[in-house]
Amino acid sequence: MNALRRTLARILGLTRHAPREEDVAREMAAHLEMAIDEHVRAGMSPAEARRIALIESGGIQVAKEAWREQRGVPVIELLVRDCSFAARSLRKHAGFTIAVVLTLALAIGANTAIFSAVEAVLIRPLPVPNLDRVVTVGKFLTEDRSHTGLQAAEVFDLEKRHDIFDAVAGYRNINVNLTGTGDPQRVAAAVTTGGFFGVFAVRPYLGRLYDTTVTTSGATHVVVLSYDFWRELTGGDRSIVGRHISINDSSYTLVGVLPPGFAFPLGVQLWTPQPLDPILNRRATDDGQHRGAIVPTVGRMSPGMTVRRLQSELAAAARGWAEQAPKYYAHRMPQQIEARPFVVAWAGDLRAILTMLVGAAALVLLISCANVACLQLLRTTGRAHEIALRAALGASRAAIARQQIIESLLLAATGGILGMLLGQVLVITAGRLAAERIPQLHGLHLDPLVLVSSSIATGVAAILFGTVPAWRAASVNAGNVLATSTARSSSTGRGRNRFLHAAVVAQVAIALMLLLSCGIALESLDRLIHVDPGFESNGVVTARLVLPPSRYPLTNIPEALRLLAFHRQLLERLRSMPGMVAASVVDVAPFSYRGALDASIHRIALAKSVGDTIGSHMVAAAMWRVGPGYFRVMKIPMREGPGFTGHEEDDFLRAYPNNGPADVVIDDALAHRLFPHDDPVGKVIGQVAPGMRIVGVVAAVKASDLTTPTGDAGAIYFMSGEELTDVTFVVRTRVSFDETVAMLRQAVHEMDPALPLFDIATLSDVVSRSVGPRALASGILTGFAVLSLFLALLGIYAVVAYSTSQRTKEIGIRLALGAEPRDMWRMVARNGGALTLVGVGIGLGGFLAFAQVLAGIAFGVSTRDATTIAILSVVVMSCAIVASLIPAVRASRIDVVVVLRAE
Amino acid sequence: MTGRLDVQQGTLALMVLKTLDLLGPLHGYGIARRIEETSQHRLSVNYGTLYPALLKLEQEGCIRGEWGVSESNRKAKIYTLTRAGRRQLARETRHWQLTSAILAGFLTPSRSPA
Repeated sequence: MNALRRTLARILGLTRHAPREEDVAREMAAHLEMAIDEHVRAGMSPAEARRIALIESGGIQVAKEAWREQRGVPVIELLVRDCSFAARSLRKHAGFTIAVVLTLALAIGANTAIFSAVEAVLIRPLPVPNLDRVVTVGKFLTEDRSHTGLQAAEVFDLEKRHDIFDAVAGYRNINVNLTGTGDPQRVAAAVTTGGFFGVFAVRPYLGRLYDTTVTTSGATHVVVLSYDFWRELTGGDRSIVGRHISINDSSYTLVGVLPPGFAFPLGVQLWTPQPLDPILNRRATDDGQHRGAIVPTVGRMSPGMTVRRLQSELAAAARGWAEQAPKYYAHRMPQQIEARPFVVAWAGDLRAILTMLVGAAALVLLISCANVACLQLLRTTGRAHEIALRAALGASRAAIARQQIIESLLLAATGGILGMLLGQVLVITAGRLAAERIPQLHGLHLDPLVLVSSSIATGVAAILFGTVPAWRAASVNAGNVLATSTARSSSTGRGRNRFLHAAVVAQVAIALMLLLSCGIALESLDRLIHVDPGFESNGVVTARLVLPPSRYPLTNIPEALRLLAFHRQLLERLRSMPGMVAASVVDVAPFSYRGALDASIHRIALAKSVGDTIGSHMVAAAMWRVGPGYFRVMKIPMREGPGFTGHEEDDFLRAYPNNGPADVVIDDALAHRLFPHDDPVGKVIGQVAPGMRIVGVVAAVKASDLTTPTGDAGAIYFMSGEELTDVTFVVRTRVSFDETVAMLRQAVHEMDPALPLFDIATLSDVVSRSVGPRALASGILTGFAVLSLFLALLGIYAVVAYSTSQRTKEIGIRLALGAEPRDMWRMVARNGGALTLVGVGIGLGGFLAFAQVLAGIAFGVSTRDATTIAILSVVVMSCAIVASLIPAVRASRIDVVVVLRAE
Repeated sequence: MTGRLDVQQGTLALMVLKTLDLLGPLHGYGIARRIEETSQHRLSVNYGTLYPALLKLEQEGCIRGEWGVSESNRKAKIYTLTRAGRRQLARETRHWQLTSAILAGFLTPSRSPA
């Protein structure tokens, strides 16, 4: 109790409320006077009385010091004093201070930003408990190595497997028209089965979330909003829960709001439970021929279940399905059911890229530490004289080391704070700019844990490198230093030189490794951008249009024909507009595919001829529904055959009641796989009669990604398809983007003023968006590489300049003895040159050893590309030589007389 | 002055408390004089030990110091024992008696078998 009270009082002692020093001075003065009075009363002369009293009382100054120590917390007072001394000293060496602080700030900032992204994308993408138990369940198509979803019937089956799953849910991304809350708007929505929120074990921010009971109760007209969308829509109105909103002209009850940060599927603002597959639900008896739509599926594993065990359970389940419906599964493509950890599926391609960036960021941290170490070491060495002087004046070794630690701490703290700010700026910028292209980065925020850990790492480095040399400097014989440092002729410590050289070599090596990575990344990006997707994206604008089922129903063939007529009239209107070159429609525009968790690319299994059902005769192909004129808009050349010549309504009527084969166009990749030796035009392919008649062969295009080989899976184009209500119009015009958009809007408005067009973009943008993560990664790598090169050059410069300054006298003597300035030049530069060569050698070795990390970003260029390696090695070497030449030139200009006099 | 001991920190606090308990409110000089007299001038109390000890006791809340006037009409800081100080004094006294009894037992030569 007493100790506590005393501690409190002592801490207060640091503040204004402290017992004041004048008080105790007065008190002691009174004490002295009283002692004198007493001695006088005892008969001494006043002078003698004062002398005796003073002797008896002991030294006043010592007493005051002891009192002061009792008053406050001495460590803190000492600290304050040391800090202000350190700050003065750092201000005096502004160049050094700025270099160290900037290095630290850049390293901490860069690392914080990268690791925040890693945390957000790879480790904890959603604010939900036990994310490691969430898996995506789907099929892996061995033929084209792609991932796809489960079929609705399979999802329903897995929902009953409580032994392996706590919850399972299928979902689909759709877009809906939201009305009744201000302006009508298009909203990205997810249609899910009831178990969706159970899978993520997410708790509502407001209201409630729907669960599996919606399927049995049939209360499916409910919606849940994302936190952001709720804020945007209502401004944060909590009373909105329970109200009705209108979606696609039907009334829904808003039951709840999700917590901030829950964004799955990516970009979705609104969740609603719906039957996954209307047809499947309509048929009471499953005839085994229809297994429903393909939907991405997620599940929460039961406690204790592992992905590996789940995988074997799923394989057993899949065998069961094949036995139940042998006819159906015999027609399917070779496929494996698979479970993948959710975070793996979520990150997709970003995993490889982020892994590489983490490596790069770690290298930047390393090079910064080396740089700070170099600078600190040089500084303490330069201060050997000052330190020795302080030691000679009685400063203890601990006091000198403490002073150094405090200086290093100050540097680390300043660097850390700046780094934090920089990290914040980078993260916000990335969250804003990159989110458009890399949706996983949306809402990226600075991760406090990451910030703390990278600050600690750099701080520890700064302190370690500041303190160890200081400790050693303080331990040397002060007399020796004072005697020799003026002469500066003694060679500096061997150990110290060895450390400096190692640090420089490491910096050069790391800088080269980063530069090489950056070179590969940029070269890859350049090649990627120039890849020909197989269509001409310049001049094409795409725009999506969704026809709401309430006014544009699609339940029978006459309604389908009405929709086709709508498409045709809209296209006719567009084609009649000035500046229009060609216009058509497609179900999903190329490159609109949104990652592994999306199933927007439709696939079809094909047999070479009708009736072939054996699996090995079948191939998978990407399936597109296109309107007339699509190939003209996209400038995809027709290789063989006339292409679509008939009327699409006729084609539809022929195909749908199975009156005759539908007309299809295939790409040459598929043609080659199906008919390597024959002319495909006129052949009828498919599984069941009447099949599909090939009327043309077009050149293969890239469907979703510039990196995949053209026509990987092959493509088949239909005019008669079922996707008639959610379509993308593609137009090629001679006019500007804005004028094109205006024309599109006008044409749609004339047909139906209530229909919104959305996702309007130039096709070039859509294509380049697909290289977004690589472009961002390349940009970051370039930044890192330039930064590290700069740091390495700074390191070389500092070390060479330092060793030159140590040899000033030697150089002076050599010059005096007749050496040419050019020789001095060479002598000094050789020092830097040798270090650089070793660094380049090690850097090359390191890069070649770890080049595999770049596989995620390299495209069309080997990760060990000789040209890139050669050019960049030369660049690094020349830069390094220039950096070491600066002090060399200075050395050669030394004025002999001045130098020798100065000694 | 030979043979005078500097007072030990731990015991000084106890002496200060006891002095204030016996004599009532008193200034620093008075406390020092009283301790020296009680010890028959075998102890010497100087500023350097006294004032930090007073400050410590004040911080602990055992004594309270206020500016007042001494018997010789000088301005001086007068210290008063607080209730907490009285409790502390009782505690410390017991503690000290126990300690000195134990020490006495140790230091008294006794060869009797245990």
